[in-house]
Amino acid sequence: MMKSAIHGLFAAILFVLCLSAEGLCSGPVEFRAAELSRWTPQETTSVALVGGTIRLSGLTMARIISPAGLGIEPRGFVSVRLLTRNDNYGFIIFGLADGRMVSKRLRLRGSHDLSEGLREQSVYIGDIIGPSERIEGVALSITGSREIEARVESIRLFDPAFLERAGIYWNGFWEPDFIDTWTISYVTTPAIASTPLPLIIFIAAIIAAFVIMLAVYIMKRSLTGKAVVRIVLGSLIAGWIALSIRMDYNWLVILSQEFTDLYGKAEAERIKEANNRDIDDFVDFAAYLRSTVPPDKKISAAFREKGNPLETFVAYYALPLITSRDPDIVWVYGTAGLELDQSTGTLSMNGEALPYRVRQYARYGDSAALFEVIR
Amino acid sequence: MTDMLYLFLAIALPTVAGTLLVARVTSGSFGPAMRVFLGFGAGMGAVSYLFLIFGFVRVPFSLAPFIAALVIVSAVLSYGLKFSFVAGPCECVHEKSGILWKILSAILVILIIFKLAFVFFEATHRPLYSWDTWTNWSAGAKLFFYEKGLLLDSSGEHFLGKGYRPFLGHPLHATFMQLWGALWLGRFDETLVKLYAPFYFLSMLAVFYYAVKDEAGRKFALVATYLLSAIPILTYHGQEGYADLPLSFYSLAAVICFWKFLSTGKKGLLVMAGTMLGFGVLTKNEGLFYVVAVGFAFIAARFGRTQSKREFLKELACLSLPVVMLAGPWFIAKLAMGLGFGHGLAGSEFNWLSDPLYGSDAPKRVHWEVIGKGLREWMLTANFNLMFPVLAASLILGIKEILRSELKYLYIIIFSVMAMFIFVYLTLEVTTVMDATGIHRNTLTYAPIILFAMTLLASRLFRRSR
Repeated sequence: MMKSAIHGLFAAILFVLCLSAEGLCSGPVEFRAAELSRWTPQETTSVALVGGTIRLSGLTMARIISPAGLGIEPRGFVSVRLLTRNDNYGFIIFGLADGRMVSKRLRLRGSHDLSEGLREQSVYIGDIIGPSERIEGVALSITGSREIEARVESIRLFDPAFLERAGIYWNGFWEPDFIDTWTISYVTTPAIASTPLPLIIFIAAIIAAFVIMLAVYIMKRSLTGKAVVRIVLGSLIAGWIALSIRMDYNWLVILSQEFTDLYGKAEAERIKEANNRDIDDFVDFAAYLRSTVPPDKKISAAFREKGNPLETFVAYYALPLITSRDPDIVWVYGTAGLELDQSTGTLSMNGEALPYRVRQYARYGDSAALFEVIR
Repeated sequence: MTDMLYLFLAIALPTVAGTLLVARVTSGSFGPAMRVFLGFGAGMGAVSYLFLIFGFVRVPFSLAPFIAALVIVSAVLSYGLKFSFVAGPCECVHEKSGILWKILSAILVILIIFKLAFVFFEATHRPLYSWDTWTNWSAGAKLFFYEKGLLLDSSGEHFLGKGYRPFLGHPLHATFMQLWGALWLGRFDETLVKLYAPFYFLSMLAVFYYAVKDEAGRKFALVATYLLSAIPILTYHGQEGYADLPLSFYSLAAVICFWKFLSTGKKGLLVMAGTMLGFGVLTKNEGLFYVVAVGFAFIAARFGRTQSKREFLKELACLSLPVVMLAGPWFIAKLAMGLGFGHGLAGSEFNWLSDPLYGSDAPKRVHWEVIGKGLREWMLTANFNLMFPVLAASLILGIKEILRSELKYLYIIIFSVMAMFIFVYLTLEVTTVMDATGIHRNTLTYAPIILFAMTLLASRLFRRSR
């Protein structure tokens, strides 16, 4: 009885939202991998067409932008078929004819095994693009705080049929959260057709309270103020519990994933797994520093801006080695353009020189090197 | 296994000392469970205070002086103390339970246990992962651990953690908690140093449950404790080494002691409230808001209503002296070290009407846009589930009950704290609301108090309406 009532309530909500989201029923517009591979990559993004998908990679963001002047009639939904290596945030961005840019955020659960099946991310865009507008450009941006690597098969604009639409809303309702460096500041709120779930549940609870009050009035022919208070508060608390249980579902999903990722693994592996930034190699590099540099020597990063997150990570993970502005050893990560003048001890990178003389101390593969400051 | 034994001792030793302190000061006002969970917070706060003392007198950080101090304090506190495992005077509501309630309560208990299991699993398996945790608390803890002190040589490059701690004026409780774990483990374990967080989570749920149960009965206590445990952002904080959850615990504990004082008049409860407020100030600068808010509520409740002015001043001293004794030395030290009153950014920290994070170019004005954004964040996001919509509705439905009862003092605390935060958002910290990086963490520190007040209000409204 209770179960069917809950199903009925959700079905009713979905039906109302589906009706409200009805848009123009034009055919779909799809950009497949071959076409996406010709879009313009931005910043550190590199694009490679592999089979029927493009492989995107970037350091802190991977973004591809379509040519301008697409002139597409809007559809109610956009769907992106892709798979990222890590849990990432993505944005699908639309440039409109009037010059505005609008976007929708995608939460992308990753898979370390990129050969796994692609996942389809569908979101409602009827709330950000009106039926009379024109889409002149599209961009896909995969951002977030992890290193980016993704396979993308297609981007599709479409108007789904009723059941498909309900399925998208249903999936959006159950979309789990994932732990990220940001989750200490805020959590992601589930939504149905861009309507936040707390609002839907609050409205549903108020409607339920009115229905109950009406039923009580019909049965008893009276309704006291005290009963109104009890019914309204009771409905809201029930809604609160319902939302809490939905949010608790996140933990169940996260725990099952985390158990696989973290349980029984060594600390260094867990650090790489848990960190939301591209520091896998930095963890190994920091361990190399600790094992190579004597504990009484002070270290410093060379050719990195103060406050650069990666410098901070190495300073943190290199402890007990102290990072100092008066170092004995300097480390350089990313050796492209690095030049050491052996005769003068001048170390420079792309025209910038260190203020002190150094000599080579050690190398960390091809990617990093350590230099000892000559006193 | 050895690690777990050491960490058990790291939690147990301060908890014993704290429990004895609570028992001594509040003399029979709380039952044994409440004493233990309040004692955990008091004990961990005392450890922080010892770190400050030993740090400033330059005793190298090692376990021996801490263990000695805790054992001596425990011995002194237990001298002449009558041990009683019987709960204190309980105003418990006697309730009959049907089968439906038994099923529901079993489900809620399972959900709470699941949440605790999740938080403890994450805290013991997931290494520190949040950028803010590293920069604000952990880097300093790791540096102090390896350097065995607070590095107080003012000419030193790493004075008080400089270079590793971007805000030298930040209170150090979370840093010291991680340092405390590392001292017991003998190494800075990237995961286990934050084990204090799930214990604060557990203790907060327990303190909340027992405080509500005493007054509103088991049913309200269980439902409300589940709702508290289910606050999503709280769960994230229960597994990461951050400072908002400990502050949340201290502010709730202080409010519960203050609330209990209003009904019993026992001054020991005011001393305990002041102690918790003092530890809150040593946890985050925002702890000062709670000192002001509880101070307001105390004056509103007691000024002109005590037997004499002298009696009022005595009570005021009971509340304020622990705060001054605990937090005062830290602020004096900060001012003496030239760190100012707040973050320790030496002069730039109170850049009124422009957000320091946006730089000095930002136009100077009151940022009214934070009101709308803040309301949307509270009302439409799931960070606190339905807490704020229900707060609004319950205020409308229960305003008469609030005004005619002592509940109004709890709401004075809530709205004072909210007003202080909103003032800061309007004038100083705009981005914390506009990009939502701070508003929910701030709200977390008073959300349990809101839930406590709402639960007591709901229990009265339901009971009255029967």
